[in-house]
Amino acid sequence: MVSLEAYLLVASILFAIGLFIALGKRNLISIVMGIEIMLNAINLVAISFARYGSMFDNQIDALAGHVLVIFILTVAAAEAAIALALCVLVYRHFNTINVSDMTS
Amino acid sequence: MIEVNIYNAAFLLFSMITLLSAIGVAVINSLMRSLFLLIISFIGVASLFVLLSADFIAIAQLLIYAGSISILLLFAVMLTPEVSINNQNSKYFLFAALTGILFTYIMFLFISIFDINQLTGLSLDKLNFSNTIDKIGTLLLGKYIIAFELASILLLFALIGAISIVRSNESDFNIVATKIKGKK
Repeated sequence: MVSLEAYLLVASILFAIGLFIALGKRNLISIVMGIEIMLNAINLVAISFARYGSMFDNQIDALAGHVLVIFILTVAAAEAAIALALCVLVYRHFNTINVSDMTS
Repeated sequence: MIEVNIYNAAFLLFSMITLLSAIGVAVINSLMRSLFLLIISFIGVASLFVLLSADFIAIAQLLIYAGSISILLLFAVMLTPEVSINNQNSKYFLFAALTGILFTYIMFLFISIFDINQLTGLSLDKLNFSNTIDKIGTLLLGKYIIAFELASILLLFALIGAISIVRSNESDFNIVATKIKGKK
């Protein structure tokens, strides 16, 4: 068995990469991609704690972390749809999707 | 200290795939290529979920992230042509890199402070799961029914909101309405 520490290290590095992409990119679609990577890292943390940190003695209660991940997936899908609709709208209005070029 | 078995080798392989393709998303200058690397990173996270014995979450990750969200991103790249080819860093590149390194350092500190390896997952091994799908269904329609209904309302409003943001003007609807009336 791999320890819980290894999964948490992988998830924190993945979150840091997503943070770097979301903060340091010029393209609006790249920023959305960075946010999706960060949500993936959060899902990985939740699932690894649901696997390793569970203290319950029945099967139903032990899966609460999985339910949390399902809700995160739902919100991520809704957020991606809204964000990309906003990308298309910004492109129509400014004729660019570079965030550095958007000055009024 | 680290024993060599198939589980450790698979963990190393899948985490390397995930992290290297995520780094590729950050450094590659073509947006199309970084999008496909992002799909590979999603698939790597899904295989890590399989290693953590979360079968339903792994399939949902493959369907929702690697299937639909990446296709949505692909549509957005296609709908904003020419300008969206490059994936350049902004002028805040250094600050972003510093923030990422600082965040990783703080997380490593947190992980090393708490004695986290006392959580071994042995109590979950005793439960003997065959699969997790029917238990997740019981939880979603039993204990978490309010959150489930709220999530469905959220999805509906996101759908309506996305359509009403993107449509250009009222005349699109009027054209469709007159066509329907004309057929009658």
